[in-house]
Amino acid sequence: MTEDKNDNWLFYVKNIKKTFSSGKTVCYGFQRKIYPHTITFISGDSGVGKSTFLHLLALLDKPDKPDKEDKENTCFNCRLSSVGLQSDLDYYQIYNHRSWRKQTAEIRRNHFGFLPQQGHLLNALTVQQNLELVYHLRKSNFQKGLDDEIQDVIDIIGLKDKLSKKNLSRSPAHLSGGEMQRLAVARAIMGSPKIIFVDEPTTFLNDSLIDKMMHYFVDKVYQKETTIIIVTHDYKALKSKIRNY
Amino acid sequence: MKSFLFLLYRDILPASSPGHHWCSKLSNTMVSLLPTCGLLFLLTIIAFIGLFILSAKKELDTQIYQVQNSPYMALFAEGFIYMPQHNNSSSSDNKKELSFWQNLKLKHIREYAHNVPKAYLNHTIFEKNKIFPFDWAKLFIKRKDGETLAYQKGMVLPFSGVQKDGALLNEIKKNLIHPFHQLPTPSEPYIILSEKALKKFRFNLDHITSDYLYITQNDDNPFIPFKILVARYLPYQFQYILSMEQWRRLDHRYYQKKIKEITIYATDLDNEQTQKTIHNLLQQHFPIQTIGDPFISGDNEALNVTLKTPLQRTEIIQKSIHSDLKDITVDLGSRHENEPGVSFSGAIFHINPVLHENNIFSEEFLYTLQEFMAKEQVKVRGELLQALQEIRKSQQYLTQLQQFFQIFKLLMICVIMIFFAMVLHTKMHRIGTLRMLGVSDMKILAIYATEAILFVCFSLLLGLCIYISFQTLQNNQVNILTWDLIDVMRDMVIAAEIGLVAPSLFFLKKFVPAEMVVFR
Repeated sequence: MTEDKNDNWLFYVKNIKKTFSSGKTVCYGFQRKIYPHTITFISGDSGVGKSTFLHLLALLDKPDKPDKEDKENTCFNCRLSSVGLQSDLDYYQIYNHRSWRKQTAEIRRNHFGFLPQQGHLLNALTVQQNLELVYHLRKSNFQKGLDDEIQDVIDIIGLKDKLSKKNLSRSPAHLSGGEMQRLAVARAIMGSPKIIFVDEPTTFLNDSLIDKMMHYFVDKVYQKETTIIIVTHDYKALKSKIRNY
Repeated sequence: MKSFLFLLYRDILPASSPGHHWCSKLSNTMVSLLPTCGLLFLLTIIAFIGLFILSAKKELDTQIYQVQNSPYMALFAEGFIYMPQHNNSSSSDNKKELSFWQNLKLKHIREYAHNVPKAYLNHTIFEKNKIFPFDWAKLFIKRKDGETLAYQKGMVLPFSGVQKDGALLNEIKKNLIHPFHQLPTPSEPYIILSEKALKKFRFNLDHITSDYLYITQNDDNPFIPFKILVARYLPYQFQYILSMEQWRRLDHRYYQKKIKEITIYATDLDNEQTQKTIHNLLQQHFPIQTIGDPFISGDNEALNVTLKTPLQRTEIIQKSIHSDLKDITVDLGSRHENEPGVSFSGAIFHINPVLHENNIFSEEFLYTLQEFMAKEQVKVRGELLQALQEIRKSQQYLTQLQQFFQIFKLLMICVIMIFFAMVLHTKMHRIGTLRMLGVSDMKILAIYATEAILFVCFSLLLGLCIYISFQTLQNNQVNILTWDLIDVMRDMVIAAEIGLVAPSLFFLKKFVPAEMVVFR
């Protein structure tokens, strides 16, 4: 498959590898393109490396440097310009660059949203601070007031009635499991990221929340505001939810 | 900046932990604050020990300074560079000349001191000198209660050159009688001897019970035209002379020992004939080339050393010298109008403090110096070496203390690193999540670097409070200068920075965000 410049892809992945510190290597011996303003599902059996692939796309991990003979046959690019951001991003180049930590952190901070498998909320921060953190880190001016934005997001995920002011100023460890799930989703969509990475939502989110979340995703994708990449082992269940909208 | 401060604040004080009961809340809060409190505790221990070492160092420095700058130290040095009277050489490099000793550098005795660092070879061994005469002195002796015991003009002679079996000694021994209870009048000529001097004269001191021994003038013996006082309790005079603060800081055992070794001969000479007689007598029994140990005692007023007779000397020096100790002033210039010129007798040299400070005067070096002096046939007094060795011992102790603090600091760095690595391990998930959300590694490092400084400031303050309370409870003086505190703070900041930043750097370099975020 040759690269077509008119082809408006967001990610282009071809024959990448990832070796873990344990020595185990995962080979992604395929070539795929992920297009902007779409919902992409990455599915497969357990242990095949779905989450690792998501981490690689989300700049949370580094792919192996290709061998000399494989170099021509390997590609791992991201065209952020396709979602109205900066120019193309060659993952191999960025990882070989001295300032890759700084660069990748900046991209993650400003353009990516994450919904990890276990929520990964920060218990050292309050509920409100977990939500505000994205804005604090981006140093961006809020289109609305920050409190309004938080209220909107809480409303979207159905937490408005459950989160009292007192709860907002306490650690997330106070919340119930369901509330924590919702808070994790809320944090992922705070600040309207250009690309949202979701890892196995069906394993830790309940059905009603998945409904709400997928509804929000479809809406955003339809409005061409975001691109969603979801890793799941239950692709059919999620797809059926999209069909409902 | 805002996000940095926000994350820093939450790293030190995490959000309130869950728990419905106050007890569980408290225990959860304690657990969440454990890393912060643990670090503070460790740093406070370092600060406390650092302050104690600093205090000990300060005290030793003061002692060394006092030994180096005390007139006694100067006295000992005087014997060392004494220039014999019969020195007819005019050569500028003559070992007996003052200028030779003034310009003596380490490189000149390099063959004796192979271990001296090259950087110090061009340093002079002695830094400053004082010229003292061998002649007549006005002597004040007061008791502790302020009563004047004696006021005499007299001849200042060294003890070191006394011939033990001389006729004079025999005569003194012969005339030694009961302890006296009355002071001689100032007009009566007499000699003051230290207890040690008497011992050297082979007197048995067992039966001496009072402060002073008094030997009446023996009219039958023309060779003893004066009385003898034995100053057994000279240290008390010095306690009075020195300010209370100086006295408090002195190492009493050391000083008493030294003071007792000081001998004073003082005679009141009213007429020229007596003067001549005594001079001849002294010439006979005290070889002139060994004379040169001036000792001046005094009360709180300035003490005059008045020179009267020109003895055979090569140089005439008139100079005002002020002792380093404020309470004792030696004025060599205050002569009477009709008095002849002052004659040079010997010089007092002070060891170059740069060499002391840089630890050049090792034990070995002192012996080397002694060897050098012996070879050059220069009289070396044991007291000089002893005094220098005392300083050396203090310096060694000081060096040991400093080394201990260095080792302690390294140990603490290791302990902080291990402790913080463990703490970081519990924070890995948090750091991983922050990295996932786009917090840069530099910002995370900056947070821990700032934490280190904040913790050091706080723990130093805490350590200082504990230290001051501790010292106050023991009625000790708190003797710490701001600059020294800054030194301790600098060392602690280095220790804390290494201890906190190094493990952070290790974890950030070793793990990518995806690996860190899964730590639980």
